[in-house]
Amino acid sequence: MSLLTVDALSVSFRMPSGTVKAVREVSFAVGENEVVGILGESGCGKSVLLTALVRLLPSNALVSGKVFLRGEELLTLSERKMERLRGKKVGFVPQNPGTSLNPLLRIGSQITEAISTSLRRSHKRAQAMVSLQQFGFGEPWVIFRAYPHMLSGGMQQRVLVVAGIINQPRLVMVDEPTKGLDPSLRARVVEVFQEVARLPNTALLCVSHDYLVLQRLAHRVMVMYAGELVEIGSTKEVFHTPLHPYTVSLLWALPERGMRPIPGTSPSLSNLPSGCSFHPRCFQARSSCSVDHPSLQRISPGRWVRCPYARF
Amino acid sequence: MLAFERVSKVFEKPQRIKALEDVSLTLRRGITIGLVGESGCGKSTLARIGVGLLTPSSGRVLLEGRDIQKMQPRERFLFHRRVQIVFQNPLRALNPLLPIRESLLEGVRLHRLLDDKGEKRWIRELLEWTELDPEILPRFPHELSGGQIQRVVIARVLSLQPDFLIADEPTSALDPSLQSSILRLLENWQKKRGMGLLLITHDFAVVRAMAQEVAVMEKGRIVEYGPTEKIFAEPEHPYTEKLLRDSLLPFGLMVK
Repeated sequence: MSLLTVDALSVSFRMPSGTVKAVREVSFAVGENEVVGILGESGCGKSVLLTALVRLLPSNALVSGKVFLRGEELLTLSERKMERLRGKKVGFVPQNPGTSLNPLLRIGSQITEAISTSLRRSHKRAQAMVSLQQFGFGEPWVIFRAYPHMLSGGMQQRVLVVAGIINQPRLVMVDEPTKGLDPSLRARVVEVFQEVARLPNTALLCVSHDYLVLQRLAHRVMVMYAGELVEIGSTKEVFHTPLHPYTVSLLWALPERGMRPIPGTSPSLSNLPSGCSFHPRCFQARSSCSVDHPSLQRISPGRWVRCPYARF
Repeated sequence: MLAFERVSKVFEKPQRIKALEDVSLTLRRGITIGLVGESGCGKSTLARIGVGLLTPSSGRVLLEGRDIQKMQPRERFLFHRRVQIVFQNPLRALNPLLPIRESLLEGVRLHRLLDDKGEKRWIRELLEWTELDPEILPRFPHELSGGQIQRVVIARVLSLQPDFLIADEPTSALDPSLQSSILRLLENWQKKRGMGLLLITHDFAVVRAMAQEVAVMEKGRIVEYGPTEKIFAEPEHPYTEKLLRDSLLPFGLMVK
């Protein structure tokens, strides 16, 4: 049985300007110990997807579908049970380390606060120290007493990782861990998450627009465009033999692969194109593409693509 | 030519920091120099000194051989048209209370480059260049997406037809496909107008795709400088090697 199974998950928001369809019919599974990456650009719905899985969306969100964590359905769980599950069974490492820590609390109390079991304070403290040390803080007692502003961005990120994994959750979800970091810091952050992935019985679901990071971390990659999954495959398959025209174009746009921009702009999630969402920007669009909405087709075991004209 | 000549900068407050030490760099028209280094190495300080937003503690900035500190007001005014800057955070570069049309024309009007008819034509041309929808002209900055705003900022800067442009991390807040379209835009403009471009970034892939020359900065000093291909093929300074290695990320697919 999979650790996490997501079945036809959709999320929309009712706004004055219309309905925003942020996530549309997303289905996938994450196995025990597996590292899965979600590749997509800003505004494609990938952060909404993660937030929906832990049920932390604002109240105007309309969510449908099913989410199973080791067989337990999360979307119908009572809020109290869900609260107990967050952090304990599912760890979440948010974007923006700068704004995700409480500036008025010492690092130590922010980490021990995350420990869900009823341990004595001294035990919690010891546990936090061990974890801090594990994630590269040579003198954890110094960090323990520090306030967030005293730490660099990279250190803050590692503190959030420690808080996210301290209860040894089976699944750790990570949102854009390397956004805006310079190469040295980015390399260090990737090492930290490789470390997380090596923890026993820990699966990782990592959202990013940085393909190098996913290439280094993930076993499998899912590509998201305009709220839908358009391609799923092993990391090697997706990056070496991409099938969906969007994945192909996205890789062409990278400076190291030719820097050819994708024509046009991402569609607004409140006003999606008819037929295939990518057809206005697609290099091989046919007339039928603006009419028929393609479904996700299975090409080979574990390999899925949402384009009837993908070359394979 | 825009030349930094042995430029140093010391900030006294809140504590004494040597941000730049003895930096010399010459930007010629038609050339792109990539300036790379970690966050906090002094890249942005150099950018601000280059456009005259900061004064060097010692050393000089020369435009066609003329020290910008010694320029008379009229000459200095012209300098500010000829040397332009694009910042990383484009939202802060636009006046939130001005419609996009006014922001685009501010510089052109200040420098009295065009009459009314010319303005209209010029705006149309600028929008075409930057692939912006004329629909955005009456809107305000907060109504645009990040990619659109960076295009507006670039359109505004290019509207003055600068001879030199310093771009400080112009695309690091953007997605890969937006990044490539904005970089292509700068590249095309540069080729057409022969502008000199100092491209500050921490992304080696961008430098490799855009720059003819690379300067590597560590703690306020330029530790290596040379043709792009040479820097990538045989870096001489250990710091350059480290940066290159880091930008490729730790080797090997992670497999349990």
